[in-house]
Amino acid sequence: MKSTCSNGVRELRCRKILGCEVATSIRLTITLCKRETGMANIELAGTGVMQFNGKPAQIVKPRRIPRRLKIYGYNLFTLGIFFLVWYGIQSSTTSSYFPTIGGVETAAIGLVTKGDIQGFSLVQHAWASSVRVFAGFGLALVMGVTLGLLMGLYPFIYENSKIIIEPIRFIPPIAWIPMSMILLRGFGRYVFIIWVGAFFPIFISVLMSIPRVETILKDSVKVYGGSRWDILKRIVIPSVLPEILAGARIGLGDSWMCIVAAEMIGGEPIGAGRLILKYADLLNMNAVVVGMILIGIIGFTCNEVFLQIEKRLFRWRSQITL
Amino acid sequence: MDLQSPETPVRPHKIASTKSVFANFHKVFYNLLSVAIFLLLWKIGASLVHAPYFPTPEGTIKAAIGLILKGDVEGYSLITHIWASFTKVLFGFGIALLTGITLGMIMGLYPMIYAASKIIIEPIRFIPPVGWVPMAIVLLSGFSRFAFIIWLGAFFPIFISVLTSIPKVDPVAKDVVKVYGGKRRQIITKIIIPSVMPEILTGARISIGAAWMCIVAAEMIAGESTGLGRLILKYADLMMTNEVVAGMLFIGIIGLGCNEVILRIEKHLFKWRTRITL
Repeated sequence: MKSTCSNGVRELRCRKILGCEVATSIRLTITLCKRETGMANIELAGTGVMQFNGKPAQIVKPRRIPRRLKIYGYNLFTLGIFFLVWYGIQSSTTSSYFPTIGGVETAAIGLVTKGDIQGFSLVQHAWASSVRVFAGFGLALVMGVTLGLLMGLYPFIYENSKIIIEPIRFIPPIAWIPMSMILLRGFGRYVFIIWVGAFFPIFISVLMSIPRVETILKDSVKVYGGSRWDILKRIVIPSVLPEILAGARIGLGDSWMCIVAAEMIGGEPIGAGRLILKYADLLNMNAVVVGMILIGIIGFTCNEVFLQIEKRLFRWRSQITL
Repeated sequence: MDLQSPETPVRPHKIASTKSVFANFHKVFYNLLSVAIFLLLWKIGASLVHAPYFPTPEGTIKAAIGLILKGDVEGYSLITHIWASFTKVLFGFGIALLTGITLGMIMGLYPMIYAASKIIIEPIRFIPPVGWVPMAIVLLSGFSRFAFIIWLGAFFPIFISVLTSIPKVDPVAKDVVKVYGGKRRQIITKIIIPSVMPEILTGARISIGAAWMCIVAAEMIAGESTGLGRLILKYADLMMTNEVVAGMLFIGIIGLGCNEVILRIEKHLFKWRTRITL
């Protein structure tokens, strides 16, 4: 908010300083300007836009809506369009299995209040999946960071085991399901599949970040007579921390993506992925969509929380991306 | 310079070349050594576990040779399976590339569109492609089912990498165009597109990896009986784990091959760029 008096006095900061209402602040500015210039003809330009030509103050335009609020508004608008398109498809399609907006809503309310056909509530499903994901992700984090640091610091090890690591990296977690069913049991099965999905992103991001550490920093430690341990502790680890966190975030996203694959292994009847598969067998598409939305929202929230932590901790780092 | 100049040209060419061959030999030797260690550990593990379904190294090698030479239980050769999966992946990936780059560019150039549709895009991004399988079965038919699942897996990596690369374009370069009186169109064609090209290729590489990872998920949708994912599932139903492991290795190797090809192209095209990673 700014305004210009005829003598060039920029005012209306007073709103901030005095903490008073907008209208009061404008009036105050005018009086201030009047007193300073002794003129009645004052033009105020800017966002508290008002014209004043010797007549009483009259607010022409209201205060501008903050950007954040505007984005919320636009998002709601997009959501509206999305539902409209969905409704359009839903009413033009002849398939009786197509999920409808009303159907999804009823299914969601039913799942929240009454639970699924076996009586498990939505919260129980989400909780069961979260426990599995965090167990697998925790294991992947510990192993990925350890092995990534080890192989990054001694590239020799990576170079010579590349022939084993690289093809395994490209085997999708879902392809491990038959193996996991045969070799493991119970909780271990789920954790294994999620571990496969989360390990490689973390491992690769830690591995790749180490050669990028500034050589000048390492050299200056050497110049001052520091040992290899000093370089590791004071330079390498602080430098790769942002990368580790970014890798962890991507790994967490990937492990959420594996939950449906992991829960394809029968066994326990709870879990968000199990919910989808259960209702898919019953051809109840509305409930399937509810399960998909549940997984999408939880995954998105985890990612967002991590992203905020990252942005806060590593403010000095410009390249924080989605 | 004076001190070094007599030495450098004298060095015989022959020694250098044998040395590089020797270095390569070392690398090959060590890699073979790690394969041997891996197989040994596997063998020990297999003999410790008494489960009859535990895959053994020699059984897997035998199964792989059998698959290559004779084909699977239904008589489809390995090439048929690979080709079936490959066409599905390339088709889905092609569409993902087109839609991902287009939408990524639009939303990157007009960040307001992305900010305003974030509420829809972001939760959908975190729905795994496998989660879409029931929907694909109900709503689509034939080849489009597979293509849809693979498209889902491949679209988001490339979309996000194009989207996030645009704000990273050097503002100085853009300002130079403005100073010389260039228009917005010129900024886009002369600065932004060349700047984001490497990122697009990196995104494409990650997304072909992701697309290839979706092949098993896509081929869970029954229907056709060819495809590498189908091969794994077929043998998993028969509890023939050696063949399952062989199939997994084929998927892994082909995925790695695709990645490696694009990585080479990237390194060749964008030599000036230092940060090309796995």
